[in-house]
Amino acid sequence: MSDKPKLTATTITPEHLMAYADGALGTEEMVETALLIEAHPELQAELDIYLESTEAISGAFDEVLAEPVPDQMKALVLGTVSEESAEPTPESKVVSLSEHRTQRTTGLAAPVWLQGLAACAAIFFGVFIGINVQSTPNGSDPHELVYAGVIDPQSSLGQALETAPSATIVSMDNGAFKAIQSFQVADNALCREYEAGRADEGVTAVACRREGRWRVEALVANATPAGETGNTYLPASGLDTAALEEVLTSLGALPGLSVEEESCLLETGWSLDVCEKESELQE
Amino acid sequence: MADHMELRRQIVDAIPRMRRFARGLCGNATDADDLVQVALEKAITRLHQFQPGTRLDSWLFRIVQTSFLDERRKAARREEGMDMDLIETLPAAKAEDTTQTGLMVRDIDKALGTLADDQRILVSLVLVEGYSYKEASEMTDIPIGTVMSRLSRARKALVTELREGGYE
Repeated sequence: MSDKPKLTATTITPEHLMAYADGALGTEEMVETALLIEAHPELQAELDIYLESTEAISGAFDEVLAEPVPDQMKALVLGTVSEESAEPTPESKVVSLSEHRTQRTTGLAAPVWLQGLAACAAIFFGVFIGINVQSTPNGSDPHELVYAGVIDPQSSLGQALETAPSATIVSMDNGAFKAIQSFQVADNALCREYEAGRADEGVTAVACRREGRWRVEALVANATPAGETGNTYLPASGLDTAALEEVLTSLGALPGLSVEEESCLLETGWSLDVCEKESELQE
Repeated sequence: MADHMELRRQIVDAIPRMRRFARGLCGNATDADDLVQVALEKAITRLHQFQPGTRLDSWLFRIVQTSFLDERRKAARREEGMDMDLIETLPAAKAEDTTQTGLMVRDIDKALGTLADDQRILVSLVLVEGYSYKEASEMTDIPIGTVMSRLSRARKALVTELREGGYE
């Protein structure tokens, strides 16, 4: 801000004028700038822009400050999702990786997505959140691929997949869950894209429901490198997107279901028959 | 009993400002509160990452901001291929919502909606929340010179938009 050797009407920058408008210059610079504007009225028009933007924006949303804090937010912060419970419980059933692999190869989903994921070196394959499945112990190779298979319907993840509407955050025994969307795939199975997170990890995953059971088809996780804080929740940008997108394509995902369609499924325990009839009636 | 109780109470105290900041980013109250909810959830699951002695508000605002970018990317992915005009997707504020200066909140939302995401973040941090350029630079990991040039461009675009809309 103050590294300009001599302030003149031709060398003054927009940033300097803005800082002047915002009162962000030192006293000496403020005086110098004020004199310059006085001598060069043509600078006033640009100065006005900065002043006008401040006038329009600052205070525009202050009303919200007077509103009471929504109960849902308060409850979330004060303890529905506690850090302690985010730790894996000792009685969690550890499912071996090889078991998952067997399930995968005999399962319905084509392993096509694995190739796509493997190509994205920057993605960490993290820890699966479900209560009945657990990855290799903490501190293991973050590049290790953890595949999670069928989800125990009694687990909190199983419950969340079964009952939680999309775009709503629900707390689980060991983290939090939010479904992004529900959709049908080529073999008529119903699937959900969701996020689950807890300390150190956030995953985005796709699970499909077949024969009454949810099964994870794909999972992309952003592990947080230890000690790093701040923008740690930034996703692996386009990479995870591309990987999940590939999975959705390989599953033959149809466009997302509407809120009404989804709520019918949630109410009827994912009965496609009932809900399809219902939507026909509506039409 | 949840741990970090004192820290949690301080976070609750910061919620009104988080909501205001999100309001500037999102263009309507519903999306803003959804964003705050997402950000709070992230904050709570990583309470242990907060370094005592550093500013809690900076930490929270950083989470709001990264969550915003995150949600925007997701939305873009979902709506890929559709002819999406952001402004039209913003539900209009109530007509009677006006600011002290007589500008309608809806018009401000609309003008803010024409800015790029990073510009909107800076405008919200500096003009809505009153942070200094330096603080905004630290919260966004953008060098201060870049913060200032982006902010100055954003404000010019914003005022042009407001003036063209005849809202003066």
